[in-house]
Amino acid sequence: MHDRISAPDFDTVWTKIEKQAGELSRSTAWMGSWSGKGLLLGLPAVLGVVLIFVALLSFFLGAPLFGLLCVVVGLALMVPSVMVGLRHHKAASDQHAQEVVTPMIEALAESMSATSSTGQEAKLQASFDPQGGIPLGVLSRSGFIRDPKARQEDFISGTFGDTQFMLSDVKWQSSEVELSDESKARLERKKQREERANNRRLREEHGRHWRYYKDRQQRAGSLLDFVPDSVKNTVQEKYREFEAMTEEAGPSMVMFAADFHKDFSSTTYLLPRKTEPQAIRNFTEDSAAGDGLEPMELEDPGITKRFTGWTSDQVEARYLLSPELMLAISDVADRMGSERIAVSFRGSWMYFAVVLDEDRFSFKLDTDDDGGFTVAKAIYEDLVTFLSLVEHFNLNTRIWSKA
Amino acid sequence: MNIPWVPIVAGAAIVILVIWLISTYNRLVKSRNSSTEAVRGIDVALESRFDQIKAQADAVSGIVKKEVDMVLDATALRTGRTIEQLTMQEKMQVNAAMENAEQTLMNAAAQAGPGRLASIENYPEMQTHTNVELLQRTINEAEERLQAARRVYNRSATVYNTHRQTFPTVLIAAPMGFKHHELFELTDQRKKIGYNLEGYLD
Repeated sequence: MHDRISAPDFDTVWTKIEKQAGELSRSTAWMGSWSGKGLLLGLPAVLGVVLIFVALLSFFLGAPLFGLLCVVVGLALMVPSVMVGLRHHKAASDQHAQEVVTPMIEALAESMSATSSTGQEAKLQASFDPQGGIPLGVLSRSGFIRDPKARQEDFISGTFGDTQFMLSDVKWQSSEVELSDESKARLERKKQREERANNRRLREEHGRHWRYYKDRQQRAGSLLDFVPDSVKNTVQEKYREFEAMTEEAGPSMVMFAADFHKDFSSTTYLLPRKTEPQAIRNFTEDSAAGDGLEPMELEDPGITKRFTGWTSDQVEARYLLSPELMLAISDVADRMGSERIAVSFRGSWMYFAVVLDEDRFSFKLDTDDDGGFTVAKAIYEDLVTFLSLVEHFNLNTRIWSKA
Repeated sequence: MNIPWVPIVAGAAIVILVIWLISTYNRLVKSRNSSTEAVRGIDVALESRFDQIKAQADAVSGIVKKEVDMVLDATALRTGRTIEQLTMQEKMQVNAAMENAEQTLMNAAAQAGPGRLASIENYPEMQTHTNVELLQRTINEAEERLQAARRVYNRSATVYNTHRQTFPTVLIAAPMGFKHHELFELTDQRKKIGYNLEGYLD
């Protein structure tokens, strides 16, 4: 924690949530055990996986009918138990957000404070919405998010001192990557190539009647045509539910957006050298030039080894990225332990995102068997770390022309 | 057939040399232009800082205004040249003088106590909303803008200087008129410049 920040000790907060966390830990203990309900759900799932594996082996060994049977039985065993398991996990996760995370944020909002470098006292005022997210327009304005429509959760918003901020967990693995014009053209060329190869093969096999066979190929239905629409709709609905539940448990990209303490009109990006194309955009010199940006090489080696810089105004970018802020960004990047961090300055706001490999701020099974203490403590420390960013980046020090 | 190797090799060497000369010259021009362009950023920041100090000084009466004018007049600006026309060394001196002038203004403004309204004696034309905090914000803003311009210039100048000092470019850079670009340092010029305050502080 930053030395200017004061937040309540976790042990103090724990006394307020111990009962709820303990009850949740006890009621979900079966999810991680191989007895009772856990065995009842786990065994069919394991059997299903084994049968799918056998099916693949059968297809490979030339016994497709047996393989098909194994797939059907495997799915029939696996899907219901996985769905039931996920539903229980989601219910526990919702309960955890309401009964454990919300009181933690309330405790922080009650007593977290910071003394800015100018000696002013800044108080935290924050609200938490487990199902909410940063508004689409704000997320989109960051300029580096690959898919601003991606699912979000754990939305915290409020003010810390004079600084308005927003924080949320963006489920980056559900991002839909929009293809560039070049990629679309490449896919189209590939499709045409495959069609030509198919025509050639049909010509070789059927001679001058190949067009008849091609029509037949195009008209040919699949087994799905025999399945009633009601069944198809139900399956699709269940699949969407399954997709939503798995996305919620997917890895996080923690997005932090805050009103910057200096006025500016340019656009500046620090994008990770270690790219994560599904979460964060990256530029080439040509694509950046299209947006009016040019490469920016900063003086801090800690920044240049981690980020590639792009800006529409070299001087203003350095006005924003003062030596102190560059140090603070490097320091935060070291502490987050992720190479996939992006920062941008647009429309008088600062945006900071860190891509992680696990789900943050969320319920996890109590594998330590300590009544949920370790899980809650990890979430609390994450909350303090991310809420401290306002002070860490010195955003409350408003000694420039922007009041 | 007897191939005339000597003229062919000599011709090829001359062509290669000419190509190298052209490309090196173009590269030097490009980096020099980039560095020269970056100096404009410093000029703009210095001019803006100068204007702000003048505006503050105009709102001040008596001894403080006198002192600010004296500090600024002791720089190369007294020759009537614009900031753009000054050498880098002179720009650094002007910047140091501006820091002194700002300090003088701040000291006068803070006489009524930190964070409180400026002394009415020193700032007779100031309105109630103009206070020490506003002055400090203006100064901070000017300093930050200048440090940004300075970083851009120093980076461009370093790239250009490194380029012209690297072998074999160093062999042709000086004869072709590519001069060293001095960096804009923030050394404490106040120690080097001895302002004569006699007669102003009476």
